[in-house]
Amino acid sequence: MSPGSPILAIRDLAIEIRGRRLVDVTELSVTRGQIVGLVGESGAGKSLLLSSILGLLPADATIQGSILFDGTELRGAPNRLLRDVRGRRIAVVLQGARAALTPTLRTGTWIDRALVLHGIPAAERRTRVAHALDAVRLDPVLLRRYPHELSGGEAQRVAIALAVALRAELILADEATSALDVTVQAEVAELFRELRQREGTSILIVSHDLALVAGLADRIDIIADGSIVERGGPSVLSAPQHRVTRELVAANPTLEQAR
Amino acid sequence: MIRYVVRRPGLLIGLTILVVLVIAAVLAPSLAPFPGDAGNDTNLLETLRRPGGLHPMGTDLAGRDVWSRVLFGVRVSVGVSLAVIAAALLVGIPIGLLAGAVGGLVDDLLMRIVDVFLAFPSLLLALAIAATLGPSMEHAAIAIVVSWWPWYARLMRGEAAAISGRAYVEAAHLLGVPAWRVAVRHILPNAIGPVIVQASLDLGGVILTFAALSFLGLGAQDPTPEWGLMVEQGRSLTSTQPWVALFPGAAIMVAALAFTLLGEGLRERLDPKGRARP
Repeated sequence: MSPGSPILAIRDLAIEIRGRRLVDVTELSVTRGQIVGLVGESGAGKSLLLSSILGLLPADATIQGSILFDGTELRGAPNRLLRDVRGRRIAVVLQGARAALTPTLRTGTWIDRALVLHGIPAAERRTRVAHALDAVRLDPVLLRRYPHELSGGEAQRVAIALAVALRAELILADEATSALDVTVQAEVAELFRELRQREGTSILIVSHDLALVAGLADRIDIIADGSIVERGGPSVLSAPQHRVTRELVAANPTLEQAR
Repeated sequence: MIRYVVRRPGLLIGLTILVVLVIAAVLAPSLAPFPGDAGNDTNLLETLRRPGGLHPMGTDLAGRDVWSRVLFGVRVSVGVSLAVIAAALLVGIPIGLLAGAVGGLVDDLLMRIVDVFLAFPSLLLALAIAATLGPSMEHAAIAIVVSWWPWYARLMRGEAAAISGRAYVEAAHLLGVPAWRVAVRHILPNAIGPVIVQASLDLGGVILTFAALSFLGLGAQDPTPEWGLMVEQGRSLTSTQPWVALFPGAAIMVAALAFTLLGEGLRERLDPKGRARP
């Protein structure tokens, strides 16, 4: 449990669908309290990689290699263990914001049911939710709203609040800010930074947005065609080696200027 | 909500007729001048009286008050139709949800079974089943349920499959929600709207189908005051004593119309495509 030990360690992970190898990662790890950015173009295998961590690959996918979460092998783990890990220990924040919240449930109900699902008693649910709302700076009034009554940024903070309330040790952010406008993107990025600071949460940010990741991550892994092709601190962007990294940097005008 | 209804004349008319029908069904014993005529009573001295006086809708071949029988007929015709729709939904929704939410082999298997049922025109299938089971009201109801549920299964399956791909369903899986609970709590409530709309539109159709089976002698049996049966009993008299068939026929039309108007109104409210984004 000491800081510096890996919370997530992926080794020799290969995922194939109908004979096509879509992910081939030799090594990817996240240390406790670390923010890692996984950047690549769409179709590079980022989402498949995330799904595989939580054991939710499509039925026709085959997977090889090792996914260690806090020392426990998740690949091929029994469903009971995976369901306990999902949400409670590893939270996923999806791109959709509003679209990722069930439209027929009030946000408060949505959060509460997830806490009930993971066996948290009623009294503790209240304190945890209060703390989480505070952490993401969300007005408790919003708990009585339905997703369509929220802004994109509010919806995304509801999703992050749930991760906080469940005390997730690792957050997988799948393009979590892509659908938001720029000021809200900055707010969410700031929230991630605070979560790491205050709760010690480790975060794996999957994105095609280099600028966002550069400002947030301790380390950046560039993924292309399912493999990690370049790795380093945020400085990796100022002297990109791999063709894909150069293209990603070139496609991002703000980064281009910053150089 | 009230303003919403008032601004839609179709929905308003449908709701008004429904309320009248419900009142008629509940109060039939006290509203009907001759409640016994809806049962085993006959009055051979009063056969085929013209509408007027004691008998606002006249009397039939057995001297029974048509108005009393039409009133009690609400209970039979509308009641049975509601029960038939409810039963068809109870079978169709779980099967469609299972197929749409699970997909793959389960989906293929269930939908091929549904296809077999849908291969026959539903009235023809209902007729065949009712004829096989023998003429009675219960058998007619069963026959309609059997020919009707596949429509709901297929509609539900399509909606559930579409909803299964939504981000919030993925999010529920990622939160560790067991698959069956994802289906029931996250997919079902978001997919059921169009099915409910279809069911309310179908109520009129079921009333007509049930009346048709009774008309053909495969549904309700005399002396049950079922509208379709009453039309059948007055069929040969239409040129001389039209009231015997006319009034129950009008009742069928009014009830079917009410549910169609209601269904259209509900569609506007529940269909995602028709819903205004608040």
